[in-house]
Amino acid sequence: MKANPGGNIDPAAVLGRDELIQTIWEILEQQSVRLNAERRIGKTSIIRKMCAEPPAGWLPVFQDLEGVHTAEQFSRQVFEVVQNFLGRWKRTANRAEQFLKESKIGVGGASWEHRGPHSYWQDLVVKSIEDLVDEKCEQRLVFFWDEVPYMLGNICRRQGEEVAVQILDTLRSLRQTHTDFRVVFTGSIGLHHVLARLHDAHLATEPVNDMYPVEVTPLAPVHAHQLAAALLSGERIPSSDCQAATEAIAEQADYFPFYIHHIVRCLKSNGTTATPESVLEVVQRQLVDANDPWELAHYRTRIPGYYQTGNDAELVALVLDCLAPAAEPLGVQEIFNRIQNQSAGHTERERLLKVLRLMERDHYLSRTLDGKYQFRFPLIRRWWRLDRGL
Amino acid sequence: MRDFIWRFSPNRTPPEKLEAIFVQRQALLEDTLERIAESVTTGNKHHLLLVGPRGIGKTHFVSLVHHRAAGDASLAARMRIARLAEDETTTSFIHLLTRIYRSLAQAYPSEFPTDILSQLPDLPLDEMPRQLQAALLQNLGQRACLLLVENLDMLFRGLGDEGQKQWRAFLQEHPVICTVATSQQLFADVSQRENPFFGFFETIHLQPLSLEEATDLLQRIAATSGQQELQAYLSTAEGRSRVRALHHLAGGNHRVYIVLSEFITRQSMEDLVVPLQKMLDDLTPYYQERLRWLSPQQRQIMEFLCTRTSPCPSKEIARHLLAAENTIGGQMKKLRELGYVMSHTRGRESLYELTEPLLRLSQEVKETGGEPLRLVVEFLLVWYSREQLEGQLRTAQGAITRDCLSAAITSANAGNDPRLQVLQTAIDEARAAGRLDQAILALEEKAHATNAADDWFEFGYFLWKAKRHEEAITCYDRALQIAPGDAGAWNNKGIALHDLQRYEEAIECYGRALRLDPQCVYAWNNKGHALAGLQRYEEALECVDRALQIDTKLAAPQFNRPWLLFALRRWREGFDQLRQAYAQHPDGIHDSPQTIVQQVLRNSAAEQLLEHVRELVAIYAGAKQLPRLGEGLVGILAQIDASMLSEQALYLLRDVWREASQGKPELEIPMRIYGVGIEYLVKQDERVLLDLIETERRIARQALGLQAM
Repeated sequence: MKANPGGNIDPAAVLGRDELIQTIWEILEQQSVRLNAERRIGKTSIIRKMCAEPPAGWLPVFQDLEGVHTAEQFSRQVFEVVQNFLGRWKRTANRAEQFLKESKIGVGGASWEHRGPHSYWQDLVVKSIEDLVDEKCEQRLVFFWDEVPYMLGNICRRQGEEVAVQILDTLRSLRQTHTDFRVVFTGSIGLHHVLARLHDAHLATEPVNDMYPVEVTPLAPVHAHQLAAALLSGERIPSSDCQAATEAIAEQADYFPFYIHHIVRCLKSNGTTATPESVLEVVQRQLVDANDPWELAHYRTRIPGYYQTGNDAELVALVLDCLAPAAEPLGVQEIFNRIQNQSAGHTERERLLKVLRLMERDHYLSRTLDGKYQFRFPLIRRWWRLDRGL
Repeated sequence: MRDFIWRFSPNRTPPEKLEAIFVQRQALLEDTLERIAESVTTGNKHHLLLVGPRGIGKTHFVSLVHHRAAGDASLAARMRIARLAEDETTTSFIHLLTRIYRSLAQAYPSEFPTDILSQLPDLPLDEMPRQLQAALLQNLGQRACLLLVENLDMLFRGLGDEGQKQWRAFLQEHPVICTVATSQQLFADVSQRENPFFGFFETIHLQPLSLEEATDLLQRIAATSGQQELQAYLSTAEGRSRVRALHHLAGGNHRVYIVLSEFITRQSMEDLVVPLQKMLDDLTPYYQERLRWLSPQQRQIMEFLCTRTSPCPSKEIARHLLAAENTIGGQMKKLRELGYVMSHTRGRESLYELTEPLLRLSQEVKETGGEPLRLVVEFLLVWYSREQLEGQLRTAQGAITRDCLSAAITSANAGNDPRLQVLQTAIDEARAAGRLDQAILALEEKAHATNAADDWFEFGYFLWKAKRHEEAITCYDRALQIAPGDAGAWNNKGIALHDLQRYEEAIECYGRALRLDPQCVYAWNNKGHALAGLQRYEEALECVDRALQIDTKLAAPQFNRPWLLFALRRWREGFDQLRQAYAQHPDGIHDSPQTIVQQVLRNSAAEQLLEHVRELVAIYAGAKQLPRLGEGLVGILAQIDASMLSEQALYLLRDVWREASQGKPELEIPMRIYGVGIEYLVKQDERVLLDLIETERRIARQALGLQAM
């Protein structure tokens, strides 16, 4: 296999995710799922693998929703998937199709801009799902909706926050009414940021708290080694000690498959032999490269957008400045004290606690068993130290 | 159609010709094809983005990818290729899909019927992409699609955020497409994390041609057009120096080479100047148009950069344009993003220059007002010597040709020789970087270009440094043909001859140097050294003493004197001289401890040996130079002729050193190697070397002249 950072990965070539996938299928037996992960950790590869290799009895459908800009487009996508699915079975009911006929809105004919007194999209989604759950099929349909936050953001821009809330509420209502309806949400940006925006628009809602949150972590070391070895072999990169090289690649990449692909690609482009030293050199170069090829500056530039309340953005930077050079994880009080030494503007302990929790959700931080905070990813910590001259 | 290398449309050049003149990127092409093959035969889909300014060879590369992929029989049944026409505007996702489908329909009419395209206008807006996607996927079937796109940045700009998201969603939901795309620069749509295509492409930055690659390109163009003479000429020092100067004009840009390559073989100036000027004239509106797309301030910056011949800091641009530095900084960033300029870092500041040297043409017409184009004049200066230009002027008929030649000669007479400037820069850079090989190449070119005694001399000196003594002698001879009275050249020739152990000839050279300059202290010292090579020690000592009479403090004769004295068995004087030399020159750079040790061992009587060795150790210990003595001791192993010495004598050579080096940790390792070395010389059995650890063993083998294991 060749290094392919960012491209589509063959589901058969996705390594080290079998256990997680098995867990998700088990959860899906009971409830819907929202997959949380930092971007580039490989969640799309995971759901594509789940779609390509479903267990008996499941029919997964993958839909990338980032191109959806209106509620109508969304309902249409749902409707078509359900129609295709039901087309495989003898249909006992087809409320959605009936609805469209009665509404005189043809499937391939009239324009969706043509609106009646009701929200047609809402009825179409509801009736599609009702058709789906009423049909006693041998297989269960599960929607894998990728880039949900993007879709909601698009819809907020095009049709307003209210419509985005209606979509989430409609889907939540369907999940509660129809216990067999299953969906998996994923997205590159945290869904909580979109929800916060809806809260800010005074559209208070908890539309996804019935969905089981699953965190996608980086690969286990053994699988990261396997991936690095497969890529080194696929790229025919020479190495006198392959094991040492693959371990160095995995470790330097923080076990992120995306960065593993990147490092191997760089080794290939440089025409160098794979050794722990050459791997370290590649990573160091990436971290200090003025062009920031791994776009790590995003961890800094996104802060003002993610933390808009008061001067939270500054507080976040201070927290990271405290933790980056610290030899050990730090407790809340220690972080609070250190911040007091650096700035007079952050005297509320409660505010700090809130921000720390948000930073955890945004994958900046993780907690040790004794409740102390540390950088979630050592690679980001290294970069932060270099970037901020700490 | 004529078999022609298209300068601006490589996709119209026959693929065979593109293959023939393809340089620098063979490995990248192979790698790209392997990625395409993997995309076609597995579920992995690669998306490559090649980034580089105009004229860097992007279309050439993509054309070859197209040609090779299409010709790969193993992929034929499993892949279809959609190559989007360059510079066609795309404003939405449906436009993009239509372009892809149309391209496939043109290439594979039986598989991609065009009915769907004619039906599209009658469908509702929402329905169009769905129907076309379905048709595309259905007609592709199980095959993969290789999508070749040029100017991806323009395409993405047209698609906008909505179109990009739809395109990415399509690629994610239907992984049937692999992409090879190009762009003039990295752009936010792919390089910033908040955008949908962040990190999606494997980005490859295309590098400009190096001098060697540029020469390779020109040679291939010459070979393709059957110009064997030019091909051979390009390999000569003169040919190389002209390409080096051309490289300065072209900035490593493939297109400029292809443009100029047409003209470098024209026999008559009329055939060269007029068509070249006309061609550049024809290109001018194109470049002027490119500048018109910019804002007034950006245009002003570009106009300024067009007048510059070297990279320029933004501070200087701001001063020249009477603008604030941060304003110019912002504009430079935009111009870089737009691909008009490229930047280099020097310390903390960024230096900018045109990405496309031919952009200068946009200013030339305005500036010169009927004068010959500067680029033509520079080209003439680069490609011809002043004598050749003057010869051509005598026979040239046309006014334009005469004007251009006159301008070039005037420029040359004013001392403006771009070739020499470029060569000197290359020499200086190579010296600073310690690249002896590169410096030698440039020096060779310079010597041929100027045929000046000084340049031959310098070329010879660098060859000698590279231990290419015979060639160095030839260069000194060339220098002496031009300037027979150059004592330095005679001296240096003597050194090269000495190093070849041609002592008599060396002595003759030093004699010539001394006749020309009797005070040449180096020649006296060197002559002494050469005489010692013939074991004429008395005369040698006289010469070295003459050197010291002229310059009492000179290090080389001070350190030569002791071993000459040892050779003459004048022990006390020798040791005193060595002590004095170290007192005056504690670094001991000109000392040759190996020669010292050799003379002591060779000339001491057995009963004196221990005493002499002890004294040597004391002197070097006093000078804190015992490690140097250790090196000399190990080095001497190669000089000992075991066949002439008894076992007892050999062991004596070992034992005196063992005794004298007692309590001197600096001599511990050298002594161990030396001792085992002597053991080997006695027994002639390599197994004795196993008493040494691996690194010491390696040194011992080297010192004994044994083959490496």
